[in-house]
Order: sequence, then structure tokens, then C-alpha cells
Amino acid sequence: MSFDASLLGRFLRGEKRACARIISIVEDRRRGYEEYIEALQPHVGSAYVVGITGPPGVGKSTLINKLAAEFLASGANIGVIAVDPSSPFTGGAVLGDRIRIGEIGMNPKFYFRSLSSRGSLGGLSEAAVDIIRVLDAFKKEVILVETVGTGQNEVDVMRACDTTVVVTMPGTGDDVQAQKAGILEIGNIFVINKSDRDGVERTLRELQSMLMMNPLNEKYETPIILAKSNIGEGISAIKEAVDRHRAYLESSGWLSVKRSERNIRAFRNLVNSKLIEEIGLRLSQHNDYGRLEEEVKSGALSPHRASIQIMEYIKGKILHHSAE
Amino acid sequence: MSEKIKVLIAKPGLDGHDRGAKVVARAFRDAGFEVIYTGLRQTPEQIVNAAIEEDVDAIGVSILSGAHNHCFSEIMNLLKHNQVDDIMVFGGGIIPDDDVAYLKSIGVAEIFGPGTPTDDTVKFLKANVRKGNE
Repeated sequence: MSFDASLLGRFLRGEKRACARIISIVEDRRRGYEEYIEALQPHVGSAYVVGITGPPGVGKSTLINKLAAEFLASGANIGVIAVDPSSPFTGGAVLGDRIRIGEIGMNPKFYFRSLSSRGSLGGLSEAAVDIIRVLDAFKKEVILVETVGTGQNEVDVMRACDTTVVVTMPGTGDDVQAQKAGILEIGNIFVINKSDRDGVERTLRELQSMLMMNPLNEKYETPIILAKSNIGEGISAIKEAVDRHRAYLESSGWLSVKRSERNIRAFRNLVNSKLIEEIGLRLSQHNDYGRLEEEVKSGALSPHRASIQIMEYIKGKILHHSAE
Repeated sequence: MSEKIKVLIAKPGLDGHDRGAKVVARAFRDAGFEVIYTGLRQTPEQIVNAAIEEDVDAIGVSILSGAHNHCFSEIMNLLKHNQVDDIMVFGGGIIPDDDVAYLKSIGVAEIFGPGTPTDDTVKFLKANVRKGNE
């Protein structure tokens, strides 16, 4: 199935199913998906992307639902992408983030899409970035992206967002520690949810002391917001904090820097994954590759030695071509 | 990345018994499907909207309250109305044989009653779901 101009036309007329279908094409990397991305390019650039991350059980889905309602009330057109892990064994997944969508689910200005992380093959962040583009072209003004924020893949998704909100809750001191490497450095707003629980002062102190280690920024102070998202408390403060961070990024010029960096990362990631796919496919069809695998399997050749032989072979091919 | 079978598991109506729905969801996950679970007490409108937004291949409806004839026909009508009736609908729960015949007559692909091995449901989907190409 290749590029379908009528599908694109339906998309541009605002038909939800066409949007859903194009998202699937992009997500599955079906043949010709790049043509859709290219065709949407002139319509992209107006959406503001907010990443929301934190360990399972801190109340992200409820918070996102309430935050989306707050943005909808301000008149904005909202998209949500919720990333859930897939089984590394079967690749299957049960995606349950829709459970928390309340009455806003039927609002015509609201679009919610679940996305599975699809095992360890990588590509999650590229797919997520492309789906963000699709929703942007679908006239979504604010796009909320939810992840559990563990692992490089999900950190990469958060790096693709304009503002990143890190959600935690009292009594998860160890989680904060575990998250230090990666997500915490890129948090622009911190939320302590379920703030009526014991230990909120301690969590607040831990976050404050960690933020003090960040380089001083006179123009933007990273806020820590206490929230009880189940009853809607703190939600308007989170929205205001997002608006403030956005205003800071826009006035300081950082927004365009961030977005150029995002484009460069997307380009590099795409080249990497396409190289692996293309060369991997050709290698696997090559006779010598099967022989090397057999030798590694039998122990006659070490994995490292075999990989060196493969690389010499590839380099030989490239040098041969560039000499022509 | 490959294309996967995507299934929406939906619980319409007022009964709160979603054990069956969750067992099926898990069996599908283990078969490598992507399952989107809606949660309890969904209206037919919410179910069809979710199916459109998630671009699923099939909707599995679990219902034990006795309101199946009403719920299924609402869902089938809404799918037609939204021009997405290529999405396959199947069901499970407590549904009398007479009603099964009626449900099939309005386009429900299959009803899996209590005690159906989950493998049968998995096989049925693999055999009957058309990967959505327009």
C-alpha cells in the first residue's frame, strides 16, 4: 500500500479516521510513510508539545485527563499520545490509558491515541516524533505525551517535547533516585501528586535540593507543584506553569534552538535505523553471514571476532564504491 | 516495525464484571496483539469513538448485563453511520443462543460464550481480521 492522495485529502479536511489511519501508517513504518510526513510538512509547526513522565502509579493518566480538560476549557484543540510498554517476549501489549479519559473523550477538539513501545527494537522516539507531527498537522494546538520515563527510548521521547513535566508522589524517594539519570535533568516542571499522602515534605525537600544542583537560571526557575489530580487540585497551577515555561522558551529564543536540536536528532536517528535495517537485511542474505553465524554458534569463532570480520567486509564494500 | 493486530476490548452498559474482558485482553497480548482496554461502563458512542481514534482492526465487546441486543445494535449502527463498518465486531459474555442468531444477523462476526478457550478467540481473529488497508 503506497501513498493515497484521497486519504491525505480527508485528513486535511479534518476527518478523524483519516488522521487515525495516517498515524497507523507512520507508527508501523509502512511502505511510503515518509510521503505522508512530507505532505504534512507545510501544515506542521503550530503545536506546542508537553511531555508528562513519571513512574507507574503516580497518577499520570488522571493528571493528563484533567490537564487536557483545562486546556480544552481555554479553547485549545488537544491531542494526547500515551505510551505504554509492550511485552519484550511477544511484542503484544495491553494499553489501558484510555480508562482514565472522562467526559472529554467525546469532545470533538480532543484526540487520544495509545502507543505501545514495541519491544526493544528502538524506533519508539522516531515514531512518537512523527505521530506528534501528524497531530500537529491535524491542527492540534497542544499535544500531551505520556511515558513512564524509564529507559533511553522514553527519555528520547521526552527530549522531543517542548516542556517536560515530571510527576512523582510522596514516599517514592527511591524512585526519584532511580530517575536521576535521565529524566530529572530534563524536567522543566515538577509535580508531587497525591500530595495528601505522608512524606510530602521530604519529597519536596529532596526535589528542591536536587534542583539546587542545576546551574542557576535567572530567567526561569523550575517550579515544584503540589497536586491532587483526582480532585483536580493543582491542575490549573500546572497549566499556568506550562504557559510560563513556554513564554520563557519563546522570549529567550530557546524554543527554536530546542526544535532545531530535535530535528537534528530525528535525522540522525532515522539514518541510524535505516542503515541498520538496510545493511542488516543485505547481510542476512549474504552467504558468508550464515557461515559466520554457524561458527559463532559452534564456538569456533568469538562474537567479537565475527563482528570485526563483518565490519571489514562492509568497509571493503564502501571503500570499493567510493573509489569508483 | 511490523503491523500488529489491534483490538479494542470494550465494556458497555452497567455491569461491572470485567474479569472476562481482562482474561481475553491478556490472551491477546500474549498472542502478540495490541489491545486497547476502554474500562467499564462505556457508551456505544465512546466505544466507536475509541475504535476510530485507535484505528483498530476489531472491537471485542464483553457484556453480562443482558443489554447485549441493544448495545450491539447501537454499536453496529454507529459504525455504519461513521463509515467504519469494516471494523470487525465480536462479543463475549452471557448471551442466549436465540440472541446470538440475531446478533450475527446484524453483522456481529462471532460470539464467544463462557468456557471458550482463549486460543479459539485468538485463532478466529488471526483468520478473520483484515489488516486495514483502504
